Amino acid sequence: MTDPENIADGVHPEAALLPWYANGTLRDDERGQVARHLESCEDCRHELNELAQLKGNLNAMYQQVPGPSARLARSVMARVAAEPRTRQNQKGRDTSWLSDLDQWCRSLLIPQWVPTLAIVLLVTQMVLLLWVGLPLPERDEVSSRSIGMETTQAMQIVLAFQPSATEEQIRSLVSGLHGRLVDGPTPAGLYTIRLPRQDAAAADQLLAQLNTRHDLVRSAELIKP
Amino acid sequence: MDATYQSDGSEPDLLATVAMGDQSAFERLYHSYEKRLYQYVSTLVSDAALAEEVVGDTMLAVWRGAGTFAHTSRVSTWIFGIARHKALDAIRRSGRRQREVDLEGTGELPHPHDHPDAGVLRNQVTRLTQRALACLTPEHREILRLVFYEELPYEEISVLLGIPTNTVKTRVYYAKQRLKEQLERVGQKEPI
Repeated sequence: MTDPENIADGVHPEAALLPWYANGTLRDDERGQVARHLESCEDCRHELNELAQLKGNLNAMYQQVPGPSARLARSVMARVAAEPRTRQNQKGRDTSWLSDLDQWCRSLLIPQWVPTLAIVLLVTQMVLLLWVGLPLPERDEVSSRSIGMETTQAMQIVLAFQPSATEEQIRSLVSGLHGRLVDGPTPAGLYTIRLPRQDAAAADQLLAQLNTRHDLVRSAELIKP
Repeated sequence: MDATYQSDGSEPDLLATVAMGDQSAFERLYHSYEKRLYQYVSTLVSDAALAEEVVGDTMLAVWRGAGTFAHTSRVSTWIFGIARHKALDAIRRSGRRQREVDLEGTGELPHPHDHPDAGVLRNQVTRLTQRALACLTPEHREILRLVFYEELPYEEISVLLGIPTNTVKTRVYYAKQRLKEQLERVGQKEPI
């Protein structure tokens, strides 16, 4: 068959629905659309009249076309009766629960819940992104550092500087140790420094080095936990 | 469509009863569909014996598979779908070209309530319609019957024929045009 893919140019879109307007199976909205169009379109009213006439002619014709022979009915009924009734009933029951199972499985495949799931996933993703993207509150930073320093408390050292040491020299030394001044100076002139985590040998070595800096350091002691 | 064959909302219930193995329910279903099915199959299959065979196979398939009806369409669409598959299978098996449909020779019966002249006129129109229809392709005959006699919505025809709804609309549009052309042609040969 070589029908064009589309209805000819110039034909109103409503004309494509006229056969179903004539057979009464259009949805209400489509029926309303066609009815409104028909009020103002003489061509489509004419087309509808032709379709109604065609429908009448086809009905009249098909009513006169004979059906199959009575022999066919007898043959079909005999074949149906020949199928064991009990098996048919069993089949019906099997079909029933199998059908229920089939319907249930099919309902899982019907994507009614997919939009809901998609929305939930999107919202969850957005919340996670916002949470990750937000800057950490200060208290979290303090607490995490505190947690980190729990193990480095053993790495806290107390330094006593020479009276001649300047503030700049003290800061430079602390910076060189990659430490942080957490206390001091005390009335006794002591500074407590927190150092990055390191093992005992490294700590001892560091203390030994500090205690050789007589120009700057009077004493360096490790605070034991 | 003839009121005798008008389906109603009880068809799914009737089919459910058939699914339980009720032969009397099947007999009712058979008699409400035999003529419709035979005529529908005849739009696709030209051989009367083959058309009867397809109808018989279709109704047996309905008997055996009634429990598989999924309620996603009308019962009629489901049954016509089975018939269509079996008809196309039969055509493939027989290897015959379906070029002419035997719709001739059936239009001579007067309508029981017609005036004699009206009866003559009706028979002439029916005969012309038969001749014009016989000149159409099987696809055009089939879709005109589904729309104007079976009164199926275009969505169900789309499912039945396995084609997009837009193609359904286009096919009906051109089928109607071709039928009109053929009616004019045979009307000139045999004026009413």
